[in-house]
Amino acid sequence: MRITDLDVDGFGVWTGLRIQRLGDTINVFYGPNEAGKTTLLEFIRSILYGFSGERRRYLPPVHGGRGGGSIEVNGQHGRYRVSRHVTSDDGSPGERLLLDAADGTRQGEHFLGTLLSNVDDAVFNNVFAVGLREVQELATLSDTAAAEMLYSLTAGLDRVSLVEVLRELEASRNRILDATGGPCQAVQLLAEHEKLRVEIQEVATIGHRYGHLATERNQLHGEIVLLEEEANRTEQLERTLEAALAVYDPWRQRAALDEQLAAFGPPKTMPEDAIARLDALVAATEKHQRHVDELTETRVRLRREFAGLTVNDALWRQTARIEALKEQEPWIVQLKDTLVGLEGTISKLGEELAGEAQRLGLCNSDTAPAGAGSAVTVTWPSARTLASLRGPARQLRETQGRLNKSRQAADEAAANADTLAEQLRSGLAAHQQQDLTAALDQAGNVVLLLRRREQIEGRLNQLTRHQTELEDKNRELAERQLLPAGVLVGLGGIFVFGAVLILAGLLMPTTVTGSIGWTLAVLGLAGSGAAAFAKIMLERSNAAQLDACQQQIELLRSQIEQMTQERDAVDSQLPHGGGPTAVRLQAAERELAGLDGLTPLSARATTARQEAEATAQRVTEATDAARHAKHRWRAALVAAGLPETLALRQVRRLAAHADRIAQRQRDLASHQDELARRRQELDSLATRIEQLAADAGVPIAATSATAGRDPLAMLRTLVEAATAQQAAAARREALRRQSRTARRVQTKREEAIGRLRHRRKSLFIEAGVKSEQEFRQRALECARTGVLHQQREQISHEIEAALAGRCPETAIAEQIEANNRPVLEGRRRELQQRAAGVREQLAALLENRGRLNEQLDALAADNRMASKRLDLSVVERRIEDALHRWQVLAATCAVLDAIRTAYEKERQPETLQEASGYLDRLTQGRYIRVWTPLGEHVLRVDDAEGHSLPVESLSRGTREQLFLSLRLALAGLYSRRDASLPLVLDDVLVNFDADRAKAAAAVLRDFAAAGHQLLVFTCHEHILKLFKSLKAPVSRLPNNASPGPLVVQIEHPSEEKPKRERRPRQSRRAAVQEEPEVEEPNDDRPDETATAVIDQDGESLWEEDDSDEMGEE
Amino acid sequence: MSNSPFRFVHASDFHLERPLMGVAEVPDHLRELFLEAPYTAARQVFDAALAEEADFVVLGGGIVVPSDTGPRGPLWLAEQFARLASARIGVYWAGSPIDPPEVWPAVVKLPANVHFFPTGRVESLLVEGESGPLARLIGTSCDPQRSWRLDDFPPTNVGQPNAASDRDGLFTIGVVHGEAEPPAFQSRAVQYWALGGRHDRTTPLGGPVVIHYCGTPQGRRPQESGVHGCTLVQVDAQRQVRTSLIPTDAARWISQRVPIDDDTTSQQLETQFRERLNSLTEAMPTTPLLVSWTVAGRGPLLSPLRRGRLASDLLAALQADYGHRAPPVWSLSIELEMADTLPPEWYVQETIRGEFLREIRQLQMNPAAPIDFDPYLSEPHRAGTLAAAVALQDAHVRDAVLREAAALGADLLTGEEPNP
Repeated sequence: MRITDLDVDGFGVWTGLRIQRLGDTINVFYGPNEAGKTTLLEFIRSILYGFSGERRRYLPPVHGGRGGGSIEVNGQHGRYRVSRHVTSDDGSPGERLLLDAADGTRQGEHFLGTLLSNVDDAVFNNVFAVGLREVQELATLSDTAAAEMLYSLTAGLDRVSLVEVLRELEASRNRILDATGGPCQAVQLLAEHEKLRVEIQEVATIGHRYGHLATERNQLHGEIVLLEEEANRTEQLERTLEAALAVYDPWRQRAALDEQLAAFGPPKTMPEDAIARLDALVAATEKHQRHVDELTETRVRLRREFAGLTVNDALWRQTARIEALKEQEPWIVQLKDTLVGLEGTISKLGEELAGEAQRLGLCNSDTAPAGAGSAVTVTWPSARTLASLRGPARQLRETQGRLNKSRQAADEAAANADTLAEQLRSGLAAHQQQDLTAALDQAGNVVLLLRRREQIEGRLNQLTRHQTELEDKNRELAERQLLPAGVLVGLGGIFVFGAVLILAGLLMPTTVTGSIGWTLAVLGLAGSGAAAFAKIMLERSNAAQLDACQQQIELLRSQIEQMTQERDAVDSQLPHGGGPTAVRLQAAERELAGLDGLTPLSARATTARQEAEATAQRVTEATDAARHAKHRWRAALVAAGLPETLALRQVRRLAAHADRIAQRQRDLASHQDELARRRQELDSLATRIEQLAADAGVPIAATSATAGRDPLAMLRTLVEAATAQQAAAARREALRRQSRTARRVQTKREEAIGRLRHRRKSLFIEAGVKSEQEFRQRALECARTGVLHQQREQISHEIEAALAGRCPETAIAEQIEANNRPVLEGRRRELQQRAAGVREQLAALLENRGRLNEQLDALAADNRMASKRLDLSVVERRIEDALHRWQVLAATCAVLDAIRTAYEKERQPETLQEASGYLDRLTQGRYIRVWTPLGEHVLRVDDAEGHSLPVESLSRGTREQLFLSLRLALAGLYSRRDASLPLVLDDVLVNFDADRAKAAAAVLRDFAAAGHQLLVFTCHEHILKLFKSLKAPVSRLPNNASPGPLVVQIEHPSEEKPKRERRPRQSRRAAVQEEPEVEEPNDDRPDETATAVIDQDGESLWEEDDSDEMGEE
Repeated sequence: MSNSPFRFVHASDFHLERPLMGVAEVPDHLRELFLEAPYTAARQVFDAALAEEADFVVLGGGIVVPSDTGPRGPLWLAEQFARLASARIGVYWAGSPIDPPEVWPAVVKLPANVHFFPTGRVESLLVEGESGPLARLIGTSCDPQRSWRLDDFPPTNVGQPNAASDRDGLFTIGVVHGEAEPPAFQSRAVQYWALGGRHDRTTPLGGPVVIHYCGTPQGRRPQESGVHGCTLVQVDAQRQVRTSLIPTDAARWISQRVPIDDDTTSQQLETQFRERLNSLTEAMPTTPLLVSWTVAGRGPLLSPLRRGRLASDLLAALQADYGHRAPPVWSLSIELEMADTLPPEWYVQETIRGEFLREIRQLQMNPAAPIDFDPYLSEPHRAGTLAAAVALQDAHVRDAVLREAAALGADLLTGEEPNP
């Protein structure tokens, strides 16, 4: 983007300033202090970025006028004028921005950002439009997006900042082992490790402690053993004396008992419980004797009863036969049941045959009684006879079937015809008609008439409307027969004007009309004629239109009349009433549609009636055929010997049941034979029973006389007699067995009595006595001795219990036999005192030993050492891990630091590389490089000797040269990124010495020559001359002391060059001499457009300066 | 002379003074196991001798350092020796430099069945069985001040049928703690060298002279993975030796290497871990296991394993699911095998990462090139032990550090966020 014109309507000291035709390269403006250079810089900033912040202080304008102005720019988007004005006069917030294109179109505010290539306010203020203040402060750059271009030292393709990585690594590394010696994980772990080592050393002393304690315990143990031995001895003696005193009295009693026992002499042996055994033997003997007596009585009673029982030998011999015959009893019962069953079956079969014959009509129910005999007399037709009836029967059945079907079809057809006829009648009745055809004709005619009536009505309405329209038109045409006033006036005017022209052309003198007199007359004639012709033609046209319209009206009237007549004719044919025609037409159409719906029904009724008549004829024919077939059937029955009245159904049933009836007849004969055989078997059995009764001598004649020969009753009588005989025999056998058993038991009892007596004798021999009395005396003595022994034993137990194994009886005996009780008690007291002393001493030693043992046990179970060593190993492992991790981090850091150094040396940002070139030129080779450390937003400068210096250490002038270099480099970088904005520099060379100012001017000129627009403001003549010497176009700013329009037009050397070649050198010098007059606006400017054209003095000065410069060079 | 078959238990390196170690963290519920494992394993040795009805027990030193265990160690050992004494099993103990007979505390009486070989000289003695002498034991305890000499052991009887037997033809067992070359051992009149001093069970020579290190009954650190125990030595009538391992470890260190590739997902990786743990549990259902994981290979999981929470999350999940069972299967760590896991194309890219990797490679290829850590150490530490501790003196350590540094730098310079 280039600035071509600046129009300051009002801004600070400037009002009405116009700077036009700014060059595309460098533009140098000279103005002394207070000339408004900085105001112009702020004006450019304000127009492009608004009246914000400090820029508000330039408003309202000092000399009045509208606050704001415009800048005309030209760039890749075309030529635009950017106007920005405040919307209030007092400078309060509020502004209006306009973007007008060269073609007059206007863009929105957002387009300004596009024009400015999206360079923001801060970047523009600190890079492109900088004053002395901005250029002295590098920090102003740091707050802008441009700073990234200075400090973004990274390796192109990586997404991760090396500095960030290094910082992260450093932080991780320092957490483990701090490079500054601060607290860190490794130090903490080492401290923990040392602490654990100290604790382990402390715990390690428990081994020595255990040794000391163990030695002490062993000594104590020896003393305790000695004391325990003494205590044991004392206690033992004390226990003996105490026991002796405790058993002193029983001991004496036992000695007395020993003396009594000795008085009985040698002990005599006597079996234990000898008396009891003797008594038991005597009692058992008596008991057995009583049983022997009872058994003797029982045997006598049994013999008597046996003798009283008698036996029938004949019956006893036939018992087996009776038993065998008894087994036939179920068969006899079954035989009798079979006879009854056969008789019932035979009777039932006879009744069934008789009933069958009666059902089939083979016999008369009045004459043929039911029963087995009658069934036999009926003559049943054979199968062959029945086969001969099959033909007539089939014919009769077919004719009968056809007759039935014909009758059924005739009934259905008649019913259908009646139904349809009734439906048709009811349908016509709904339309109040009786004949469908006539009704259809009548309804169709009405519909046609009504439709015609409807058409006529529509046509009449149409004609009436047309007539009305024509009448309106007729009236209008009649009115138009007289032309409108405007037309008449116009035509009249033309006519009069033409007449005037004619008269003027003809009558006016030639001096007035000149050569156009006749022309005017002709024109007047033509105009008058045209007006008259137009009036006539208009009137004729209106008359013709009126006539045509009237003819059409007449024609329409005749047509309406004709249509009215036709409508009346139609109305006369239609019934009266019924409402509007449309309603009537709809009703008529519905009537016609309803009648049309009955037409199919009428057709179906006709068809049904014809069908009924045909079926009636077929019924008559079938009736005749059936009568003929029945006659043949009866003839066949008579021929077969069957009743004439036998129906076809009966014959069919007879044929179907013929096999079953024959089977019934065979069954009847078979059953009758079976009955005869069973009766014969029953008689045979009765004979056998009678014979057996006779053989056994059992009378059964009375039974035979009353009930005939009932073999079952006879058999039961015979069996009862045999049963009674068996019972008597069994009783005799039982008596015999009882007697035998009693005798055996009696023998055993007698043997037991013998054994008991033998044992009593043995008892006497064992006791050494001869009689029972002597035996009992000896037993009494033994019992008395036993009591004494028992008492002694009891006392001995008491002594033993009292001693309770504390000491042997021999020791007790020594003490008791040698001393009496008082002596014993005295010795005991003495021993008790001595034992107490020993125990006390021992207890103290044991307590000490127990305490030592507890300590030893605690030390033996102490695993603190292992626990501490485990903790130590964990810490060691952590230290090992931490140091290994630190090694990895440090190795990574070391490699990355080397890379960082290489990057700082070799891969500085493009901006700084370019700035280094400018700085080299500006400082004339004293400072050759500006660079930034990786990851830091600081700059360092290398001098020609390789020293790297911080910016702060540079002189003020050098710093400004550095910062100017940076701005130029940044502007160049933005330009390469399609953000080519003009560079406005306000007195930035003021602190440069002459040499560096000259170098700076050359740098700026070359920068501009590279395609950058520069606006350089300076207040120093020598700077101005420098630029002049470099052939840069320079301008002087006009005086801003008073308000008024000021125009500065930049004249460029390229434009003046041809003139310069043509002009003689003298004239150029004259122009130079006039320069002050032109540059310095005076107060004599005209009020309206006081324009001060600032002539470019560049031409002559360039020449001079060039010569001077050349001279210097 | 008797050629009765006999059997004995060969054990060494109980190191009752050393709990399990080599881990950076011991969970509370396993602390007791870590502390008691040496005692439990040693008890298993004595239980094995009783169960196998061994004729005697040979201890190859490294048993206990009384000053480091406190009285507990000697008392506990004396108690175990007493158990053997009640079964008439003798104990023959050749002390190591850390447990010579002199360091045994006088207050703890050794039972009569225990024989400590003297220091400074070789002692020969006969082991009596029920039917006469079984074998000859020749051994010595190590003097902390002076190393033992193999020449002190009797030389082979050159020209005799059993040159390694003693003069009476008895089977000869040498007991000592230490190392020597197998040929030197073979020059002595010993048929079975019961050696101590190595924690891993090894047999440098299997016959006719057997040189055997039975190893420690309990591995102490993750590097001592696998089964540990004592050796049951059976000598038949023909003097043929058969050794068999009796596992005694109370906790077993396990190393597992899990491969990954480009297609491996985190779920698949976790499944592999769990399958391995299930297999280990099935194979060793009664032994507590301490598992160290190494993930090897390449693929997208490497970065989250190195930088993200994937490794810690996986470890926590495995510890939670398997570490509290009975017996526990505790996963100690998940580490990455740093062998060539970076894409080769990174080394040729014109990026900081590419330059970094190339620089690392240069350092790897030139082990003599110094890596200066001094700038990262504070002034007091530069001359202290820490500086020596972090200096990359060892070539293997240097290589490992550079490998990890390459991976770390590549991760940081790649700038990809690790998967959570």
